[in-house]
This record gives sequence, C-alpha cells and structure tokens, in this order.
Amino acid sequence: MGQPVLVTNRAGAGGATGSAYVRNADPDGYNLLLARIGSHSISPAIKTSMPYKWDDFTYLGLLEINPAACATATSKPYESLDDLRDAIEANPGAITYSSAGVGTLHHLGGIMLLDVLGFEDPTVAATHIPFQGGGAAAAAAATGQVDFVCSNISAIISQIEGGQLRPLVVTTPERVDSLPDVQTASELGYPDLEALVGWSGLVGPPDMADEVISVWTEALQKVAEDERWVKQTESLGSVPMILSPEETVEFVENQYTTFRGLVERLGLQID
Amino acid sequence: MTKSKLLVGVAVAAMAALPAAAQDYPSQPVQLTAP
Repeated sequence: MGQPVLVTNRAGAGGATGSAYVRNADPDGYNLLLARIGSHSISPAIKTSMPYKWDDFTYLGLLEINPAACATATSKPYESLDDLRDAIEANPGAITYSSAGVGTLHHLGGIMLLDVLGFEDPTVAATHIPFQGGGAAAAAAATGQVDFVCSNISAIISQIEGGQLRPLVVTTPERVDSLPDVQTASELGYPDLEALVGWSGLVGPPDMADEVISVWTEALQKVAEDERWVKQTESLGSVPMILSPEETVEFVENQYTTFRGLVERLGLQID
Repeated sequence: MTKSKLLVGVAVAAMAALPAAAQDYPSQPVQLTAP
C-alpha cells in the first residue's frame, strides 16, 4: 500500500479499551483495529457497560477464523459427547468446566455446549470454574482438575497431540485438518454449536469513506492470495478466511445475535 | 510473541509487499490497534 502499518497494543477490559479508542478515532482510515470475537461478539453480547456496540464500526474484512473444540482429559472416562452428557445428567452440578474467565469464549462455549445438549438450565447443569487466562484453563482440563473445556483449538492442540486431552467435538462445519478423526458439531446433531468459533478482522471507526474501504478490500483480497500469509496463518491453527466488508458484517452479526440470544435467555449479563 | 501479534505482523508484511495504491490513501502510516 506504499505506507507502513504500525501496530500498537492497547490491551485492557477484554479488548474494550483498544476498541473504544478506535471507535472514537477520526474515520480517516489511519486508525484501524484488529477486532476479535471477544471484543466484538462476546463482550457486546454479555456486558452491560460496554463503551460501544458491535456495529459501531466500519468493517473492512475478516482475516481468519480459529476453530474451537470441547475436550476432556484422557484420564477422564468420557470417550464421547454422549458420555459427558450422561455424566452431567447423572450428577447435576458436579461436572466442572474451566474457562479463561467470566464472559470469555471458554465460558460461553461451556454454556453453549450444555445448552445444545438439552439441559434446561445450562448455568447450573455443570459448574463453571474460571481461571486466569486460556493457558490455565487448558491446563486445568488436561490435568483433570476439571472435567472439560471448550476452547479455540490452537490453545489446546499441544495437549491433544501430547495425549493429555481428548477432543469430543469440533465446532466447524467441516472436520479440522489437524483433528481428522474428531466429529463436527453438525455430525453429532448440534449445528447451533457452530457459532462457537474465534476470528479476527480489520475494522475502523464508523463512517469511513467508501474510497478508503475499497483500498482495504482490494488489499485484503491480495493478502488472501499470499501463500506466505496463508501458511503462517495455518501454522497458528487458524483457517485463513478473507471476507468482504458485507460478508464480515453478516458473519459478526450472526455470531453476536446467537450469543446475545443465549445471554438474554439465561440471564448471563455482567457489568 | 502472541498469536494476535503474529497474525497482525504477517498480515502487515503481506500488505507491505503490495504495490503502492493509485489513490491518495494512504499518504501516511496507518495505526493498527491490537486490543
């Protein structure tokens, strides 16, 4: 594009700090944001005090999706999702799952799994154990400290490949290349679980000019054809997926609507 | 390096390899916030 892109980290409040900064920046195309599932789907759906809404931004394009899986320790007796469901039914509230904290993908993933498995109140069917971050949540599941975890695959693939974790389901429409023997949610009869997928995309402040949006749309289409970027993205456990601005809005809206519906139905709102 | 940083880095590197756009934009560095 003839100009450098300078990356600045503005972490905090689950992505809200940096997102709010860009939300309020000039829409001249010189302040953009790497939006992610947490900052633009989950937090706006579950938190009542967000400084922005998911659609307060100009969407330039999706970059990649990060498939999720629900897994249990290989030391646990659950060989399948049916086994886990039967154990939860037999021991209400006694089965535990880990997360990276309240309102994270892991947390909503556990709730969503319990919901699609048919439990009347997913908030009490199993017990949520929050940890400090995704690594701790994965470790707790791998060591059997909790019964299961729902996580982005890239965060648990080393424990799966190391034989500590047994994946029970992946949430992508198609099977994941790195886990070819693991059934998809749809194969198991739970297509609604497909909403549980991480992603990252480029967004900017509201009301960006069409000319600027077009520059990025064209640039991202060329990125999609860049073999180096594709290989690097795949090596991180992600699936390269460059979408147009319109397709990206549709993708994020669908996910937000799914999460928001779950949050409202189960009263999961947090401050 | 975190995954998000690496993803951004790779994306930026790919974009940097593109020829300069004919349009006026961008005429200065673009700030990309990783939240």
